[in-house]
Amino acid sequence: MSEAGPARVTVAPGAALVLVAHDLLADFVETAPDLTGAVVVLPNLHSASDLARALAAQAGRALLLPKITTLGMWAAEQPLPSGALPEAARESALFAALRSRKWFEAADLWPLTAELVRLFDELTQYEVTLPTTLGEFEQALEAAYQTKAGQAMQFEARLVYELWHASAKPSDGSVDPAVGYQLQLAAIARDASRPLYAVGLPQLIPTEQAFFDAYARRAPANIYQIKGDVSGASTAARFFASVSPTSGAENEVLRERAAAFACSSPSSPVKQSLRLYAAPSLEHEARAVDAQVRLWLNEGRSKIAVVALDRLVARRARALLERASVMIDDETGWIFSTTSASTVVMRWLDAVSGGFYYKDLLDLLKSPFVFAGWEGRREAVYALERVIRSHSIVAGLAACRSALQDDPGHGAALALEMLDRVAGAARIFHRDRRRRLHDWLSLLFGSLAALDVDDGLKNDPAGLQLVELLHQLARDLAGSEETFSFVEWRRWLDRQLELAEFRDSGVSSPVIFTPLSLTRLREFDAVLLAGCDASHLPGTDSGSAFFNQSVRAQLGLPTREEQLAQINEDLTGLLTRSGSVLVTWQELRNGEPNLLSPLFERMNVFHQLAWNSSLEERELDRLIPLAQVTAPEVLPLPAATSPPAPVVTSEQLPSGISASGYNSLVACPYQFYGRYVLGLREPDEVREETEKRDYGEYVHRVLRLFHARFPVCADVDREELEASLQEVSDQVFRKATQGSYLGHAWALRWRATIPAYLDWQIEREKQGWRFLAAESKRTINISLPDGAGLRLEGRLDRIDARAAAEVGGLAVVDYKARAAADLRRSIREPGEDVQLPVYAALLGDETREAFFLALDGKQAQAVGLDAEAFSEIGQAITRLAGIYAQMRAGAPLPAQGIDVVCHRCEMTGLCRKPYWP
Amino acid sequence: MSTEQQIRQFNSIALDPANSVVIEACAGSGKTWLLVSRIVRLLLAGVRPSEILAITFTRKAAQEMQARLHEWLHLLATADDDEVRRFLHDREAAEGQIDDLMPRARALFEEFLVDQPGITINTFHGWFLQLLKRAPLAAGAASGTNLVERTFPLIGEAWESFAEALQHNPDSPVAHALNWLFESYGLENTRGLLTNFLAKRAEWWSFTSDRDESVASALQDMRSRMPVAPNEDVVTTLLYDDAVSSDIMEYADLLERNATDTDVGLAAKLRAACEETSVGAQFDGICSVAFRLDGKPRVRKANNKTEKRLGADGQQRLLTLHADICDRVAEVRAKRVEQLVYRLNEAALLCGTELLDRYQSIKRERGLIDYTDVEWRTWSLLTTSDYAEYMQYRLDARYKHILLDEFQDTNPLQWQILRTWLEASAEVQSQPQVFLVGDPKQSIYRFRRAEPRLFEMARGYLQQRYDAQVLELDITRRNAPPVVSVVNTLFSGLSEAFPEHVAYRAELPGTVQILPLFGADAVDQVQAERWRNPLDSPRADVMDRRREREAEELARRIGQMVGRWQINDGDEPRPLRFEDIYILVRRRTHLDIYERSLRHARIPYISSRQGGLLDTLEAADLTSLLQFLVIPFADIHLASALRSPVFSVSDADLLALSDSERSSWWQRLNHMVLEGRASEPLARANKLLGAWMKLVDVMPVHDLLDRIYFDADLMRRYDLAVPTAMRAGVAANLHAFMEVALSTDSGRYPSLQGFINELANMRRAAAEEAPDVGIIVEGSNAVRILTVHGAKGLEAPVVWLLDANSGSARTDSYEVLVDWPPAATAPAHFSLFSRKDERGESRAQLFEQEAALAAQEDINLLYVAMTRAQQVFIASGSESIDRGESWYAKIAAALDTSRIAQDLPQISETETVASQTVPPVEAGSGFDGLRRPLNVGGRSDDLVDPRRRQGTLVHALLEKCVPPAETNDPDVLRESLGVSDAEFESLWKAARSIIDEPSLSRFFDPGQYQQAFNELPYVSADGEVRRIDRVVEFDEEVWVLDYKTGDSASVDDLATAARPYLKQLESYRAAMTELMPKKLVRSALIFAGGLLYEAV
Ligand code: SF4
Repeated sequence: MSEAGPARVTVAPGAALVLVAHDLLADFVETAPDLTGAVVVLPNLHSASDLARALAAQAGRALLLPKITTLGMWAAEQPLPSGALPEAARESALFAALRSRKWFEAADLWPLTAELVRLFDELTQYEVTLPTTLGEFEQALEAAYQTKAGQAMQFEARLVYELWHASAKPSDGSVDPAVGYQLQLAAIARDASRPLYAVGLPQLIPTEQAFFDAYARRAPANIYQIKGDVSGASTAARFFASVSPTSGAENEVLRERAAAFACSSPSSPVKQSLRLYAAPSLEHEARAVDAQVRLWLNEGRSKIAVVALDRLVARRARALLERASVMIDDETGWIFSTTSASTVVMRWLDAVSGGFYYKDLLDLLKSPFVFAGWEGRREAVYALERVIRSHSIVAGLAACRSALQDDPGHGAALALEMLDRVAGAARIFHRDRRRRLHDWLSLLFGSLAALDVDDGLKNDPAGLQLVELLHQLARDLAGSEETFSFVEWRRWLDRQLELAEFRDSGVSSPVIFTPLSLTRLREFDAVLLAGCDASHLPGTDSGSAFFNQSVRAQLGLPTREEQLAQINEDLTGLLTRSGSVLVTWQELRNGEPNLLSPLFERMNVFHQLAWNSSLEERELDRLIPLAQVTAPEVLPLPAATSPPAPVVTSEQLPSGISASGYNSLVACPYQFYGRYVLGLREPDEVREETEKRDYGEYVHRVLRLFHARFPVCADVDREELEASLQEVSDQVFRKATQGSYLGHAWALRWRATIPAYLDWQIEREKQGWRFLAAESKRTINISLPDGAGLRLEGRLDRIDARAAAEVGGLAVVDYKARAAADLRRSIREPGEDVQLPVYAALLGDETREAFFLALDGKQAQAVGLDAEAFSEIGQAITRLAGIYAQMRAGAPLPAQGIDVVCHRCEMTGLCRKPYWP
Repeated sequence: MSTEQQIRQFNSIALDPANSVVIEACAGSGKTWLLVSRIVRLLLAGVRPSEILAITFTRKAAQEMQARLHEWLHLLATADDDEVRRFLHDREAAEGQIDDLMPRARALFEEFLVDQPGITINTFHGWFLQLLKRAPLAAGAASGTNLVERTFPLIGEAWESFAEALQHNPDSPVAHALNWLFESYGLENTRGLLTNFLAKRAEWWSFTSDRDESVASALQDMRSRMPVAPNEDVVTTLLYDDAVSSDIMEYADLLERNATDTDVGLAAKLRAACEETSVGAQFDGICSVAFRLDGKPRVRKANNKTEKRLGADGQQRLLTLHADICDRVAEVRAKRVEQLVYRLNEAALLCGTELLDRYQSIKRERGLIDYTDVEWRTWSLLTTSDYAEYMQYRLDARYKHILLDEFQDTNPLQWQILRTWLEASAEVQSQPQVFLVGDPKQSIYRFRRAEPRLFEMARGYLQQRYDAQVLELDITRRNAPPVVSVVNTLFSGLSEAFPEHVAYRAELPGTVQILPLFGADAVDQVQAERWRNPLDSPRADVMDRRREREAEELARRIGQMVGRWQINDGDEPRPLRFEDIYILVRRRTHLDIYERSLRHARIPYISSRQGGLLDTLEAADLTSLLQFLVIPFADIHLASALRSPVFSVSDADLLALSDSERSSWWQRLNHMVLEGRASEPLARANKLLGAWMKLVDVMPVHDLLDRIYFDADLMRRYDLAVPTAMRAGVAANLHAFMEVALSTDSGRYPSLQGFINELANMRRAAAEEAPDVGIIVEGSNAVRILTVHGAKGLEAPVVWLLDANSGSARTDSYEVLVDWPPAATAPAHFSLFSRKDERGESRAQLFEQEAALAAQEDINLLYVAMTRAQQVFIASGSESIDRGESWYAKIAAALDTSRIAQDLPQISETETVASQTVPPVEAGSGFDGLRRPLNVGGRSDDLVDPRRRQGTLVHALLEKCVPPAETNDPDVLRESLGVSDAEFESLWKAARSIIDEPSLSRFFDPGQYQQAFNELPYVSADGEVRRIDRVVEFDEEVWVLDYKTGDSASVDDLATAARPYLKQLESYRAAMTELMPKKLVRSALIFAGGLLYEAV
């Protein structure tokens, strides 16, 4: 009980718990082994067991422990008379206040709202009161910025000032968390009776300082502060203190400090225990972590901390450790948005708000959290995916439903059932108007329940915490009246999931992943600090949106400097207490140099100057490849890749072949093998827009319908022809233009070609040719040299005939929506593109012409086989027969496409051309 | 003056902190050295790190600069005095002051490390972002600063949303405009045009920033420059001109009289044209008479025959009329083109701005900004009222020194921002010194909007306003004299202003070689067989054949050079290694051919394609594998996965799988395995795939991939399967793929399907936005294949420029024409253009200017390519059909006039190039323990397993609600447990069943005992902390109670239910006996429903 405030003791890092234990036992010698009369405040509860151990060790017996707590937890035990105003409710109100001022056009105000909340909390915590008038506040800022006020600064002042006053105390007397904390601590101090021991706390805010002062007036209070350079500190502690001296010693330059230290300590106190490892890549760093941790485990260390400042490294290292069946007790929080649990919620909202866009829908339904426990889910989803792909359904439940009904396949009934349930859930979730955040959440819960997602989430640690988080938010917001649009709410929700952390507390393991801030006072057998580059340690200033450092200092708010001091203290404390430390970072990141953290850089230079040796570790490079866990199973091993040339039996060869099959066979026999022997096809893809090939199909259909109506055009009025062709086109292209406005491009493109087509058609009739048939299926049988037969088949776009009175004969026409020049190039080598020869052969001996009709732009041009090529049609068939007989006789099918063919070939994964020697 | 002296003099000006300096420095002159040296000098002069702003063009360059600075400061802190003196001397610290500077130099590093805020070394974008983050309250800046680097998918969405809006509004002007574009140019070109407009949005905004109706005013601008009104009917005006029509008739008469077949035909055509009903058709007819198909006027010259037929006067008259009509028609045609251009701009700007709005609002909705937004917002910020000044004091430090690197890559907007900043600094009385370095000769980024002419402009500006010293540095430390000599000959031939370069290392041996062009050879001459049999003979492609021969020569020569040629590494001579060779290409189009040859010759290579990771076979394999796991009926994906080294299944096995009734391959595979018909590889595939399939929806993608890598022993299998030459590259790519999985969507959880979609998106994205192939860890001895752009900033002893005879890429069409004069604050011209023949006379001069700039850039690219070579530069190419002068021709011309040594010195003994393989692990090497699973740690699912959850929560509830705990309010309790109402209901019931159980009331009613503890913690003598659920102290005795509320026991078999817990209970009892020695300690378990079992 002292008016002079609490007793303050400074103690070296690593010695704090021992000293406290000693003092406490001395103070409670009378009641021992019952220490329940004392209260110990620690920076985190993880260090409680270290304290208990220290107590037991000194007492040499079992003890009833004192109350061990943190300031935050202790405060939280105190009820608040008029309740606390939850953070979410505060933000809701502040957002509305900010929104109503219309300062920011169409901006997402949530981040700014959060910034304001943080600023206001700091103002409370640091007991800063804003001036009563805006003018005064402006003046204060002017002075702090050391400049004259301009428009920009006035706006900053006004924003803070107005909202600070707008966010003033709610009428029900509830208080915001910072004030609540003040009240709670004050309540504790009022009833203070038990001796208090506060150990190794980080920088105290004014509220906390006041608390200790008040407490000390009623009961003994002791504060143990940690300092590296107190007398009695270990050499290592002094080393770290000398590397990064606290204020006062900073005038002495590094070289001198190092020299002085080397004098007093001729050998390095950390040479054995602290190593810095530069990894050349992320993978290497993760492997170093993995190898080192396992080395330590093998040495029998039972408490290993990995402080991973870089999450990617942590994630990667964790996977590697799990390869060796090393589980991790992960104290680091993972934000919810990194979990599959929150993704399912997001996907649901995406799906509902995006009209069930097929990717969202499938993604949602593939989540194991949806329809949890329903056996049929997978089968239903596959069935659904099949129709979505084959019918190219871009969005909409109704479209899926009717496709499933029209084309019921395996699992269709299940899929329909599933769609019904999704539709049911969608009916619950209305986005029609503005609602309170609470009401939006209720709708969400309702719809999730209809999807059985809530059940699914309960089976997953992250899911469980997610459900709890969302319900907690809903309760917190029950009293908030502001209303929000769906988009505003959605952003709010996204933010909650970006901020809130999920902790997987289910694992117990000697290997702990933990953030630096949670290592205070704790003891580990070995510590690995990963990701220690300059960008993670100390990291860049996350900064506040308001003011700058000097203004903050002027206002009495904490600055970056204090934040850095804290990090430094945590770090040196950890290093001092740990016997083995490995520090890793990537000296190259994405191929760019990446600097070691300045905190370690300085340590290393100091070390070099003092003992002429670096702390860098190189041994690991040799170790890492040796320390890989071997896969459980390796055989049979692959051989070096070579060009394949499979042999197929005559049964495996298809008994019929089309022109494109023949083309493929010519271009690359292996491609033919993949497509026609193995029967592999690229899976259908949903086409979100009309594509070139759709266009080709449309044009074909238009011309087929048109000629069904007008087999002969010559005797019809030109205008009628055009109108009629246009009408047919409109009808056929409707699917494209209805699907997307961009579909009009195709329709218009075709419209431009119509006159040219009609010109061509009329001209053709003048030459005596008449349209005969469209889309005609033809087959001929080829007898192979070995006696077997081969069916050559094809569908001819169009056949024309000329009356025998003239020259007589037939013509085969193939419509192509391509430029004539293009086609001319491709038929220059009829041996390589056999389409026309094959068509001519299919049409039979009467054939007089075979050509492509290039329909492109404002032109319709025939591009056909020249006389020489025409005379070689027989050769095309003979060659085919020859090749077929050869294949039947066991000739291998080599992979040998030329590059242009390969670039468009889907069989690369099978022939493996890029890996050929 | 000796070179040495020149350099010293140069440095003493350039490095003096008191000077503002502008330096034009040639390739290899050590710009980074200079810049970092200047920073060191600044620091030595007492400038705080935070007062320095250094800006360079790429993040990599910034990082390298930062690293170099660290290295030097480290050296100053640790090297011996002599070395530090030498260092300072080299950087022109005044002789007399070096000793005084020593202590400061020594202390610099630490100061630099701890100073807050630190130095800013960044790219323009990085710096702008920093500014925006510090100024979130400024206009527009409040909405999100999440930078998107990949804009491709967003642009796609903008198109969708654009199209959707039109769908609902098909009669809007925008829809009509779009239809017009579609009709005139088709979908692809329209899309290209508008997307290109989007890419130039910064220019568009600048162009229209001070106007209200941006499109209308841009069009107004355009109209004012046109020689004709947009809607004027120029054809009618022409044809209704009586003089014209009579001329035409006369012309027709003369043609007829000339009586050649052609002319008679033309006359008929002309008369027919005049009969046409529509003026359009009339005009077209006249055009076809006056002009040839290619658009040029028909040539008509005086000749004897005509003179005979028409007489001299008649002929003269015909020629005059012809020329006259051609002129008039040409004029009308030109006007019509102008009108067309206008129409195009009207339509495209209308649609483009609409599309842009969509794009911007999509980003706004998601709180995203792209690089252009970063620039534009910064520009807006700094030009809004007094924000520029505000920012000066808003930052925590004011820049006293601004250093700019690679200035030739700056774009006009960036320069405007910088200038505004500089002017605002003057306004707040803290004008900095500026140090600007660049080399317009190396400007190759016009496609990223860089403007090389800014350099000269900025030089003038800084000279004038900052009294800057202007220096030129043409001494290269990189290139050997023979290389320099060819560079000098070549480029001074192209430009008079080219400053002759001087090689600093005069003694460095080197050579420049050009191989004869590879042309058609005998094999090609033999016409490929027309009906070749594909089973026997593959197809041959003529151009490919030429490149193949070039590639073979490349491989052959590399094979000869490596190990034999002696190069200088620093000053040490050593044999040439693969990694010393860079192969450069202008474009990546034909790389497959070259790579094939290298593989064939077993020359290890690394092809660092920007954005190429997803195009590699290994990435495709993994994608197929993952795709199969999500869609098990996708047979082709399964087949690819099976064929990949993951399973290396043979074709015979594939045939077996394909060969049966109609079901998916996967189902067949399962059957085969069940029936024992599967081969070993198939069985293995079945087992592994089946296992992975179960993990799909459960594990994050990265974790799943890791399992796949591990279970399949993937790295090793690929290593065995791929050609030696590719090993390093493939391994790096496999790691890179893993990193993509790790960092997709900044670590947010993607479902596997989501990840695959993302991959597809990335793949479709423009190359520069897709993930890069794996970075190969230093030390892999392989030839590097790079584009010239990719080689910028790099150097190598040997550089080989491939395919040097192919022309530059075709000129763009459907693009935006911007004229932003370097000194101007905004573009002077902004318009869109389409095909070559539809560009219009009025913009001709701008197109010429563009073409000149493009041509200059092409030369710059060659300069960059050649100056990468330290000692050897080789160029090769094949005969091509491309017209125009190629790089090859230029180099060949320059090479003629210089005498160059043929080869580098060779070493007699061939160094065997050791192939790099991981040393096999010797058994018993002490690492066996590390190569086996350890089985450490375990998971408890207390809160997930429903039964245990109930137990755990009832337990927690009891702790909170029985005395001495104070609360009894169910609401508060529920809150503190954070469970739903329903769940709480059941917990509460369970808890009450214990508390309210009459036989237990003595343990819960404070009136009946002395004191009680919930969760009483104690520590055992050996340091273990334990907690006892409840301890109740009576006068005589103490009860230790342990809740087992998760277990339901019945009265009859309490003993059985209790058995597992008795040992634990006993230890509690023993501890309490020790801790409360004066009383009798009894212990009991309490089960659900309030059943008590006392241990005895
Ligand atoms: S990629 Fe080329 S070689 Fe392979 S199957 Fe296809 S066409 Fe043949």
